[in-house]
Amino acid sequence: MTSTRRLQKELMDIQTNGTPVGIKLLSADDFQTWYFSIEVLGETVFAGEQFALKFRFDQQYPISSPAVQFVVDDKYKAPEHPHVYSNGHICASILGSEWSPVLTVIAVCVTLQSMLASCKKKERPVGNDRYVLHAPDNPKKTRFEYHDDTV
Amino acid sequence: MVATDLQSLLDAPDAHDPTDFPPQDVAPGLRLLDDSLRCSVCRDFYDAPMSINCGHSFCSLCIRQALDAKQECPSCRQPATEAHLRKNTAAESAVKAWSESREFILRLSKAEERRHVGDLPAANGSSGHEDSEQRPRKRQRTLSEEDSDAEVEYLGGTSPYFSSRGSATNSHIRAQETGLPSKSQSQSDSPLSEHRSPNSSSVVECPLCQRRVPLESINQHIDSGCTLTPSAGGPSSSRPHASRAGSRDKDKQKAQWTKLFDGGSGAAPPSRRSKEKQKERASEAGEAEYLPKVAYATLKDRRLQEMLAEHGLPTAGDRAAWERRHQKWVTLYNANADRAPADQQSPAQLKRALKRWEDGLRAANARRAAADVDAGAHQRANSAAFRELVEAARPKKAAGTGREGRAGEDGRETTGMQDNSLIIVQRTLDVRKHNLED
Repeated sequence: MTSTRRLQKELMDIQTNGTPVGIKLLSADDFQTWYFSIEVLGETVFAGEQFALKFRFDQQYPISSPAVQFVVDDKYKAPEHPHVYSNGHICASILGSEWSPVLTVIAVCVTLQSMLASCKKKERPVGNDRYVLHAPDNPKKTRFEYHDDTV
Repeated sequence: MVATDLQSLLDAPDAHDPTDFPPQDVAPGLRLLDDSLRCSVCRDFYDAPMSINCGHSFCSLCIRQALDAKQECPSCRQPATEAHLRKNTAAESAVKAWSESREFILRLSKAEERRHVGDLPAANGSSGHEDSEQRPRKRQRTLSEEDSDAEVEYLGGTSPYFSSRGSATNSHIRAQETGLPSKSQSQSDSPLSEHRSPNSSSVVECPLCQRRVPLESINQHIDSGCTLTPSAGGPSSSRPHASRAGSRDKDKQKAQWTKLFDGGSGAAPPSRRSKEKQKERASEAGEAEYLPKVAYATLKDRRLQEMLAEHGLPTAGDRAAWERRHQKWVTLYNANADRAPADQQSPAQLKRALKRWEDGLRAANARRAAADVDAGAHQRANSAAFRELVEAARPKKAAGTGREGRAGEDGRETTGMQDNSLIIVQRTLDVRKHNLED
């Protein structure tokens, strides 16, 4: 109920003010799952690549964070980044313990965009294969440890 | 295609947004103004705005829920607790006035925007007549804006709830906390400060329910399970007319009031008198009643059920559901108590809100359960295949004993899964079994 209203406002904002450069709304068919495409602009290791983000909202949104992951399917791959697992799960503190209810879907997109932009070397997180093997469907069920705030 | 989907989602009956107003170059500051009266959590106009220690304001319900999840300011991350919540009456009256004037301003600004667009061809030289009309009309607009500004102030200053609560409860509490002179204090100096000071120094915050309680009665208050609350501060300091009088007059008046509330008997025993006076004080000041927070782990099932029954809440579901229900109820109830008396909802309305919330939760849980059941069903349906695979892997495993098992355990440790999904549990069980067998 509350989540619907808030998401409606965010959608309205996207519709009137548009999205930041490099971020596009792919689909928002309901108030449970939204998809965005994300591109990193400028001279980065991800130049020319396009990724897709999947947002899942529960009823407690925005008090509780959305479940955000990169889409991994025939069309999209997860970016090769030290904080992104190959199944699309993202280890970013703002999606977990550092989430704040004043953050928005667009704010999350922009943060992830800059996370990708500041990446110097394409690599997977340590223990990627092991994590992917056991990972739950919902990344919110994983308790990540946030240790690196440089990238 | 996307656009039409969006449109259907955006079809809200009362959806309003700062972008309803023309952009900055046409209507300077209007979007900002509309935005600044909105809670940054729900993006709606402030509903019972509360400010916290860092100075940020939120709807009472929003900030209470946010603090339940995490004890920090959602905007600046400064540590904050519910004890820091203070009513922001200035924002409340501003929202009230703005909601009332919004339609009007919106109409004016839309007209201005249309004219602005219409001006563009005029600038090419199609009509000088329109151009000449622009200036007086612009002046007119600024004039009417000033009018509405005056209206805003006027409403804020004299709206009944503002004056009654502003002087009675709130400024009183604020004065006690900050030591700043309140409205009622500035009206009369010596007698008030004289009898106010012993009170203000001995008021403490209850560590359990965070209500403000006189120091001398804090023990009784806690012993009574936070139900007995001789409210903080003296009665007369919250009543300007009483404080204006000298101390002798005050006594006389007290007697008169007592007489009035005792139904003329006058000579009631002191204990009863003070109790009656408490009630009188609370009702007169419109003082809101708050529900204390509950440490559910310490409660027996029976007691929790009683507490639900006290508020006429259903006792359906399991213990977790009761706790959820009661906690949500306390939050809804206290947030409602922060509203201006005129805007407060009835218990029945609150219960409906609680039910809506529970229904939503149940629907979400059902969706999740469906997914979980699928996983379990998949596991069962393929159990034969799994067994075969396990059997097939066994000879190979004997060669590299235990390595796989350790990797599995390591994996769980480093990623620290909160939720041991069925598959993982089963897998680790299998691994353990192997280890035992090996």
